[in-house]
Parts: sequence; structure tokens; C-alpha cells
Amino acid sequence: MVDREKPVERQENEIGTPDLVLMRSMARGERGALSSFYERYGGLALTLAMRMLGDVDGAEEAVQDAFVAVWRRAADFRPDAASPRTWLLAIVRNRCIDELRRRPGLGRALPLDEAQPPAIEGDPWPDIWKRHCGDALRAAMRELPNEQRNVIELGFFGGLSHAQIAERVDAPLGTVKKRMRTGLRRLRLALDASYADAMP
Amino acid sequence: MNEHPEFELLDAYAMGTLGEADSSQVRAHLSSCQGCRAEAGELRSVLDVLPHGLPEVRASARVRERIFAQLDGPAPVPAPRRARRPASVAALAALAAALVFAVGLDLWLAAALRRAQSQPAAPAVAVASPAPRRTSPPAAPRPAVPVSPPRLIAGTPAPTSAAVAPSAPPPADPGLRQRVAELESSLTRERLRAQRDGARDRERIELLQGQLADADASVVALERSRATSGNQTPEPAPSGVDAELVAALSSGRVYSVDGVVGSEPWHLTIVQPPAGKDAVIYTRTPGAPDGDTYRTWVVRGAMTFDAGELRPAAQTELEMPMPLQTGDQVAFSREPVGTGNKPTSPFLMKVTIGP
Repeated sequence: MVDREKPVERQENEIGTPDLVLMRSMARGERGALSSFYERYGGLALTLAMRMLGDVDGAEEAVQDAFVAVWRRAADFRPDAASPRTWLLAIVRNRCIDELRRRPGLGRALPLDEAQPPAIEGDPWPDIWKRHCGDALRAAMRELPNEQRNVIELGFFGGLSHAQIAERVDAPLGTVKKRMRTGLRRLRLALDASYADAMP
Repeated sequence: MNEHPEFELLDAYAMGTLGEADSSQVRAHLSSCQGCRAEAGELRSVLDVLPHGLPEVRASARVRERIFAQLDGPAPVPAPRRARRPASVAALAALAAALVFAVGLDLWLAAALRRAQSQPAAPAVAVASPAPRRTSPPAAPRPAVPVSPPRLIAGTPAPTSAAVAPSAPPPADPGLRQRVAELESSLTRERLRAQRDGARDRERIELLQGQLADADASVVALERSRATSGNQTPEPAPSGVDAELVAALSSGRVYSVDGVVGSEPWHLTIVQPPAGKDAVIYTRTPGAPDGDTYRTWVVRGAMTFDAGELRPAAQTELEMPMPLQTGDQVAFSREPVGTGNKPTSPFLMKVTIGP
């Protein structure tokens, strides 16, 4: 008999049944697993889609499409390629990028550190956790120079290629690539340090 | 692509904004380059947390219903695209205000979502008037396990624009707010403790069910092998790890465990053959961070024994320094290359050998 304790670096939302077990269950057609997966990541997926698209209808459609896609392709999921959460968010982002490219103009992306959390209402736990989890990231983003932060957000939330970002910010392509590279490396270092501080 | 891709190709690949042709080349390179795969994995792990910097939006019950309704449909037909709801005057005003002040858009989005969720499904036009404040708590989403104790941040006053946050509560007395924050923090700790205990029980049941299914599959495979071996040319006798696996399978002492470190999945098998040394076989090894590696340990009581370093290979077999017994723990941690006396960082995984 084996009693497995949770890895420290587990996905922070991954309480209870591991994501990989849920994926296997979905591949076997167990709808309860899809329900658990949605309960775990539906809010995060909608958060991402809302940020990228900026409207409720489009965001909900993207999330719906993404979860249905996960359900139908669960048997094809390759755990060596990405975690289930990463896979889901990648599908959400792809749906949103498709939608943004159908729209006139380009997607918007407001600075991450200026995003204000909503007021606590009803059950405080999700807000408390989200704020706790987002604090380190917002602090790390705040430490980045504006131009580095901007290209990261335009790329991730705006779904823009390097060339599109260069056009948007009116900077040479090489400069945009350098800002992206430097910004992501600084962000990674800051998050690593933040994680090390949080370790017991 | 034989050469290592430039960083900007990797970051665009990780962001999903790379063209299909370039994506295919990068994907092909990653399949054969451990270093670039680790680099891409770290990039992805950074990008993966970006949504956590956003203000939370609750999962939509309406979307859940639509998902399952779509599954129930006779054929996998995508949900019909609804006409986009035109923005109301109030919503446009809120958006303009948010853009002007460069703050509060996300709050507006959250408020807009709450308004939308409080309306009947799919109205033709957004209702401009604000939704009444909820008087009962919403259904609580499954909470999460923090890596450190959650800090309660007392609610900061919402932006005062009536269009942006019409339901924002009036400023509370600071003393009262602090008291409420303390009570919420206490409640959260108690809830977390109870939910963690329950989650462990559920996880244990799931794990046992998974092991039972794996064992069933092994039995079926063995029976099939025996059935076919009588009619066909006998397969060569397995050797090395295979022999141990077959021998251990027959005695029922093979444990299969998997998990995730960061965004990297890992999978190991603990083998306790009837004869020979116990071993741990990693059939999926997490990518080693730059300058570091992962090291395996056996913990027995207060003693920790080095069981070897995980090589960046598809499969790593480590012989255990002693026979494993009930209560022993097999663990791995992130360590600098070359060290091996004692773990210098917290264990990322622990497996406890049961009776």
C-alpha cells in the first residue's frame, strides 16, 4: 500500500483528486471528472478569457468551447507535454486569440499590476486566495520596467506576435524581442525568489 | 531544426503566438533536446501563473450548464454563436472611466459578469441598471491549498465611480473592518484545515482505485501472456529491469506513482522484487533546472539516506541503499549537482511505504 503525500510544488488549485487522474477519468467518459475539472479551473479560465476579450459573451463562449474540447480530447492528452491546467489555458488562449483576430482592431491588455481585485462579497475564501496568490505576481510585474511589462502583456493577454507588438508600440522588432526576453527572465527570477521565501 | 532555437522563438512558442511552421520546427527540436525542453518548460511555468495576477472571476454556472448540454447533444456540434450583446451606455461609460484612470477595468468586468449572471440566460440587450447586491453567499468554489498561510488583505475601497461599481459598500469603520478581517482569517484557517483533511481522504481513495485498476491491467496482461506463450515460440526471458518487474509483479510489490513538479509531470515505479535489491524506476523524469538536479532519498525515522541522482534521461533506475520497509519514505528534492549527503531543500515529493 502506498500513501502519497502531495508534492510541494503542486498546482495550487489542485486539491483533492490530481489533475492527471481527472484527465484519465474524463478519457473513460466519467462526467463527474469534467465537473470537478470545471469547478477547479472554470473561474481561472473565465478570468483569462475576460481579460483577453473584455466581454462576457465572448469569454463564456471561449470557456465553453475549451472545456468541451478538453472532454473530447482527454484521451489524446499527453502528460509529458504539459499539465492539464496549462493545456486548458492554452486552449482558452487560442480560442480568444482566434476571436481577437476576427475582430477589427487588436486586443487590449491593461497593465497587470493596476488590476484591482473585487471587493469581498459573500464567501471570502476565493478572493483571499486569489489575492494571496496574485500578490507575488503583481509585485514581480511592478518591478519590471514599463516597456518590458507592456510587451509581455501584449503577447500573453493580447495574443500578439512579436511583429504585431513592434507595430503596436512603434519600436524595432529586435527591441521588442529583447524586451520580451529580458522581462520574462526577470519575472522568472522574481517568482523563483518569491517562491523560495514562501517555502517553510 | 538541429540548432537550439533562439529565446524569442521559445517564448513565442510558449505563448502560442508562433506560426505553425515555426511551431512544428520548435516542437521537433524540443522532442530531442532536454535543455531546450527545460527552458521552454520554465518559460511556460512563468506564463502559466500570469492569470493569477488578475482579479478573480467566479466560474459561471450558466457556462457549466451549457457545457453539459453540449455533451448531451446528438452530435459534437459547436454551440451556436449568439449575436454579440451591444454594450449599454452605462457599460461604455464605465469602460471609458476605467481607461481614463487606467484602473478598475477588471473590477468593471467582474461587476459586469456578476450582473450578467444575475440576469436570465442570454438576454438580447444588456440591462443598464445595476443588479442588487447578493444577500446570500454564492456557491463556494473548491478552495485551494496555499504553499504558505494565506494572508487576509482587508478589502480596499472600490473605485467610487457609480457606473463602475454601483454595488460597492460604503466605507466601513476601520476598527470594525479589522475585526471582520480577523474573523474571516480565522474562519479561513479552520475551513482550510477541514477541507485539506477531507481532500487527503478523497485523494487516497482515488489513488487506491487507480492502483487497483493498474493491478487489474497487469493481471490481464500476464494472463494474456501466459495464454499465448503455450501456442507460440516462447519469448526470450526478460532480463535486467524487465526481469525484476516481472518477478515483482508476481509477488505484488510494484507501486506506480505520478505527479507534477511545477508544470513537469513525473512518474516513478517502486519495485520490491522477491530477490535482489529494491529499486525506484523513474519512467518520466522532471527536467532538471539550470545548475541543479533532482536527488532521491530514503527517509527512515530521523535518518535520511542518499539514493542517488536523477539523470536527465527518459528512464532512471536507482537501487535503494537498503530494503524498503513499512514506514520508509522515498522522496526527491532539488539539489545542486554533485552534492549528496543531506537534502538541502524541501522534499518535492514523498511516497510512504505502507504495510
